[in-house]
Amino acid sequence: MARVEMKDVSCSYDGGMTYALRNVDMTMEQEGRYSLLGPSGCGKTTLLKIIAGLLEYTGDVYFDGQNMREVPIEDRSIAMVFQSPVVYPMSVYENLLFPIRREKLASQERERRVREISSILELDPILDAPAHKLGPADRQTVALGRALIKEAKIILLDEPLTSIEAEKRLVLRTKIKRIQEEQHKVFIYVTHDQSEALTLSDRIAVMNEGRILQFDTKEHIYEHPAYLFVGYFMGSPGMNMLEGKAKKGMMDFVDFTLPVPPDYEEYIGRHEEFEMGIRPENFTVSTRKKRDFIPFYCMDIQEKGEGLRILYLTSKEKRNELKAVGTFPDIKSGSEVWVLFPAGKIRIYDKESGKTVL
Amino acid sequence: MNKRSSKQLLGRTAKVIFFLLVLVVFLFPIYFMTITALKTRSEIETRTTIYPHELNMKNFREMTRGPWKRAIINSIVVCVSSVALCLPVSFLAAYAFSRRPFMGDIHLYFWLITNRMAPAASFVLPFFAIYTNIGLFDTKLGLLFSYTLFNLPLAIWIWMSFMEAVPKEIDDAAFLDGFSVWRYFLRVFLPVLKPGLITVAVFIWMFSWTEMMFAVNLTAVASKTLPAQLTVTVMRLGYGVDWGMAAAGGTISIIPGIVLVIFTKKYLTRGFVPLRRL
Repeated sequence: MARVEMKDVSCSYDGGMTYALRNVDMTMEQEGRYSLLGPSGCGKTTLLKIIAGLLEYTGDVYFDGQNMREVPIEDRSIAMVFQSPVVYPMSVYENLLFPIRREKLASQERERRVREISSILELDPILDAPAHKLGPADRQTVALGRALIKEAKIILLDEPLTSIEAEKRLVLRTKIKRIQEEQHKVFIYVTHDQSEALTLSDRIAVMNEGRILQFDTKEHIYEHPAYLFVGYFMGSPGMNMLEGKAKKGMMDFVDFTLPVPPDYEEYIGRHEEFEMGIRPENFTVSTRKKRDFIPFYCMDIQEKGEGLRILYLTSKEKRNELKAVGTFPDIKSGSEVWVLFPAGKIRIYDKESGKTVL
Repeated sequence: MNKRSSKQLLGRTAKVIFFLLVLVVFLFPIYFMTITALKTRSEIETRTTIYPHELNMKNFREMTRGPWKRAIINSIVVCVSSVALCLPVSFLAAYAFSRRPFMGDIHLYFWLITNRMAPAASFVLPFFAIYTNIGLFDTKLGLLFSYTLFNLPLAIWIWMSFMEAVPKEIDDAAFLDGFSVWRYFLRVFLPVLKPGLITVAVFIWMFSWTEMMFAVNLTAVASKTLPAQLTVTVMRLGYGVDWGMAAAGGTISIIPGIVLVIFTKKYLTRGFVPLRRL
C-alpha cells in the first residue's frame, strides 16, 4: 500500500511572480498506474519533482499519511526516470548495482537482483559495456533498470520516451508496460502524449497552466471531460467546440438549431451563452436528408489510418466547423451531407470558465 | 602501370612533398634554436651554420645549476601550485554558477570574467606596491596569487562550458540514488567531465609557465621563473646577447608544452566544442 496525497501544493520558480503549480490537491489512493498529462509548461514535471523531493514547494505532500517535507530524497522510497537518459560513467552492471549498494544484502542477493532486472529488461548482452557509451534507448533502459532495482514504492517516469528514436520507442514502451503489470507499485508517468498516457496508465490527471483540471479514469475523462480544454486535448482530433445561445427553448448556433438535451435543460434555461462540445466519432453522417439531421458541407477528407477517415465539415453559412471521424464509405469530398448530433453525447460547458456545467 | 594509378602516385608524392615542406618551415626554428644551444659562442657569432661544427654542452650544463636551475624549479613549483589551487577552486565555483542559482550569480560571474579582460600590465604596479609592503615581493606565493587572478576566470569559464553540456538530471538522479555531493563529484561528475578537467589543467599550467609580465616585475632573484630568467640573457651589460644561453633556456622552456600537447591533444581539440550529451 502506498498512498500519495498532495494538499494545496504550489510552486514558483521566481519567488512568487509566476506559479508553475497552483493549489494542487490530488490523492493517489493505492498502487496503480497514473499519468500526468498536459502540454509542455503545464507543471507536470514540476509536480513530479515535488513528489520526488527535488524542488521547494508550499503546501503538503504525504506518503501513507506521513508528511514528506523533512524527509530527505534518498529516504523517500522513490525512483525516477528522467527525460534525458541518465546513466553513471560505469558499466551497465555497476549502474544497476549502484542504488542497492547501501542496502544490507548478501552480495549473492544483490547479484541476483541485478541479474533479475537485467533479464526483464533484456540488458544481459550489454551488462559489461560502459553505460555512458550506449545509444539513448539503451541508456534509458539502464536508467529504468536502476529505478526498478531499488524496490521503491513509487516509480516516477518523466517523459522517458521523448528523447528516444521513434523505432525504439515502442520497444521500450512495451517493456515499461510489462514491468507495470509485473510489479505492484505506484507508477506516475508524465507525458504530453495521450497515446502513452492511455497505454501506460489507468487514471490520468490532465493538467494545464499549473492546475489539475481533471483526475479520473481514462474512460471517464474521455467520455465526460470536466473542461473544454480536457476534451480538446484528449483525443485526436479533439472534441468539437461550438459556441451556442439559448433561443426559444432551443440551442441556437446561428445557422442551425438543436433541441436542448434533457440533462442540460435547467442550465440552458438560466444561461444565454454556453459552449457545446461533442466528440468527432459520435456523429451519424448520411448522404441523404433525414429527420433531425442537420445539413453540412464536406470540405475535405483525410485518412486517419485503420480504415477511419476524418471529415472536415462546415455548416450552411460557414458559421460552424466540425470534424467527424468514422469509416464513412460513401461520403465524398465537396458534397452535401446530413449530420445527426446524438443528444446523449452532447456536453455543455460554461462559456466563461470552460468548465462542465453538470 | 596504367594511367590512373600513375596519376594517383604522382598526386600522393606531391602531397607528401608539400607536407614535408610545411613541416620544415614549422620545425626549422625549433631545430635552429636547439642546435644554437649546442654551438660554441665563437661559432654562433662568426658564421651561420646549420649544424654545430663543434659540439658544446656548456650551455645545457649551465641549465642544471645556479640561477637557471633555480628558475626552472621556481617555474615548476609555481605551475604545480597554480594547478593545485585553481583546479579545485574553479571547479567548485563553476559548479555553483552552473547548478546552484544564487542571488547575483550572473553579476559575480560577469565580474570574474572582466578581470581577464584587463591587460596584465595594469595590475603590475598595484601588485608591486602591495607586495613590497606586505613582504610578498620576490616570493613564489606572490606570483601564485597574481597568476590566480588570471587563471581563475578562464578556468571557471572553461569548466562552465563543459558542465553546461552535462544534463542536470544526472545530479537529480544521483541524489535520488543516495549519492552525497562529494561522492557524486568523485564517482559521476568528474569522470564525465574528464576532458574538461584536462583542458582546464593544461590552460592553467600553460598560462603560468609562459607568463612574463608578473614574473619579471614581481621578482628579483630568489623567485625568478624561467621566462624571467630568459630575459637576463639579453640584458647582461657589456656582454652582448648570450645567444647560446638564450637558445638553451628557450629549448628547455618549450618542452612542457610539447609534452602536454602530445598527451592531451585528444581532449584539447575537442576543447570548447560542447560535449556529446551524456
